[in-house]
Amino acid sequence: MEEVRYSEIIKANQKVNPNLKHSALVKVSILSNITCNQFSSLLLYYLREKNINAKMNIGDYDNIVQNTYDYTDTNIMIIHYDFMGLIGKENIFIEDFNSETSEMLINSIKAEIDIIVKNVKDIPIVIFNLFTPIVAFSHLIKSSVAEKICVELNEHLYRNRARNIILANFERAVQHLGLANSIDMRMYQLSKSLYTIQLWKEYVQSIGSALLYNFGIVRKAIIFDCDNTLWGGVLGEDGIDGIQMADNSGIGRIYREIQKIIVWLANQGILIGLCSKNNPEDVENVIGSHPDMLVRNSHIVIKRVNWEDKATNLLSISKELNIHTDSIVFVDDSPFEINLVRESIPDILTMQVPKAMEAYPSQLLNLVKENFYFSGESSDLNKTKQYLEQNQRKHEETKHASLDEYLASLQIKIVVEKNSPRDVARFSQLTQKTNQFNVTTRRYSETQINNFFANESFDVYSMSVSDKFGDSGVTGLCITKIAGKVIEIDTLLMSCRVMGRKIEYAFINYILKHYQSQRFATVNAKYIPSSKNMPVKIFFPEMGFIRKANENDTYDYSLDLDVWDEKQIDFIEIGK
Amino acid sequence: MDHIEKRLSEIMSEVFQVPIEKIDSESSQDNISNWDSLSHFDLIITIEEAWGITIPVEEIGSMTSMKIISLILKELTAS
Repeated sequence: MEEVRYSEIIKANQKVNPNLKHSALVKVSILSNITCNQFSSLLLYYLREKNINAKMNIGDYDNIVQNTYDYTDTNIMIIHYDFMGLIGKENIFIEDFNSETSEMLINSIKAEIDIIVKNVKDIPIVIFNLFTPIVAFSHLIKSSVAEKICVELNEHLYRNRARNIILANFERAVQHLGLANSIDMRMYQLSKSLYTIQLWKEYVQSIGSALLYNFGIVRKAIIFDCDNTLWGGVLGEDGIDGIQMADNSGIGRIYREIQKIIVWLANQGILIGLCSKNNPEDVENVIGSHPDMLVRNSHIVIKRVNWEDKATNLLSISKELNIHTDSIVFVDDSPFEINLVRESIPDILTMQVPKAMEAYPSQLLNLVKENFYFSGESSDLNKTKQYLEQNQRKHEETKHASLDEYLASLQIKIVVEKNSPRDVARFSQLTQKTNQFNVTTRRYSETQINNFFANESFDVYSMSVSDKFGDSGVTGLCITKIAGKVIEIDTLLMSCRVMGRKIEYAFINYILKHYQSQRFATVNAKYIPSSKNMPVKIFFPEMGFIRKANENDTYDYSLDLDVWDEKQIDFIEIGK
Repeated sequence: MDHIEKRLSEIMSEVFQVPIEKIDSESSQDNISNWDSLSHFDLIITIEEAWGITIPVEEIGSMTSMKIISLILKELTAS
């Protein structure tokens, strides 16, 4: 987006991409005490580029609190209190404020924040920009009045924010560009529009990953080449003692830094893989026993070390990890390999190791910032471990004659709970991020999930899965709507991490048996096709549901509970 | 129309969403309905981007018609 001219952005915004017409409208509201029209145009452009059918709504100028009463029907809200706007109305220069006037200003804004937090509680994602004095007055040695006010307001925000509010450090965008490149006082004087296009572009890209995470559009894996990418030098030529990744040389230091970043990413739950043209035993030897390696087998969830072409290898990685190619980033030093992957699998984001090596770590970090999001949720943090356990399962698989025999050897246990409020964040996250095993792909916020709990016409079933290799946590969700004797399946989803183990049958059996014992008559269900949920297309017919004949393009199913008999899955234990 | 005005017509047509044939030397804030105070700044940013210039603040407010804008642009690009 950095390179796209503003004129092209305005032009692009005037027409909606026909492919987006069918996707759900995402309403975005921007509330501020400065003019944000250019920001709105840039954000609209960014979201549409990511295939989100956004509709922008800019609040009235300097009406932040008032607008939060009206703008409740919105999916994303961005709140920007500009310090310039706050102090512009005063008759005294900010540094001339005495403690009493500062206190008055602080208290009135704190009161506004409290109202806002309450009013926006049902909006799935609220980005609230932290206050910054950088545009007003700051001093290297003396602490300024402006700074003190901002510090206090930010503390108030941190103390009082709700779970749906993401606090964004707006100041960092200004720091990255420098103040002179960030503000345009001409526009501020004429129209109260303070920031440059460049600044808003920087800001949009910085908050982008947080927004996309909530739509399940986020990269999940980074696959690295080895030679001159993970370490300096070529293993096949320089040998295990010749490759560099230690502190004792300039080049080595850079690769050491890269490896530190990779270990950090693995610890954050980003999936790390290798794809390299080398002898597999040579690479294993380096990973296992080279004293300078920081990246070890405990960080790497997948390897394709062979002489096949990299496009084929990356496709097989995507298949084995059960993630779409648009979730993958590939890093390699060879322009040939990068081009090959770009041309054969355009969904994969590629990064070529820069010729100016010193820029390699910062370039990798920028890519991470713009394309990955660290939720900090434990389900994300444990991902590397869970994928490694998955590999052990796969290894075990080869030892057994039949699939069922193998599955039985895993000692799978599921626990189904109804309306479990402690997991509400995880439930919402599952609806936002699950794309493959998801029959209706309906996305719900935490507030919406809580509303299901509160509403007697809805049941929320969740499933936790464990086996002899480890605990996968809450990985299945089913939301049902009850109307008289009829049950409707609103949502049924399962994380791709536990797919392929017939767990879905055990889960739905449990729920259907429950309703059958309660003498409900019918269960209705729907399959809404998306670009990614092909794997569940045949799920309902497999379970004995009958498709309603009169419809053409829709997949509406019905099950008669009076005659239904469960599909036997003996090897899965249903726990309490 | 000279070269500058032709380029300006293209820009105005895009920013204000008006067919290019409807824009001529007489176009101004008075006869282009989408030309309001907010789209005015999109126009200014786009012009600055196209010519690689920075327009002084005192000129921005007065750039309300094709004639005036092209005059100011000629002055700014002459030096």
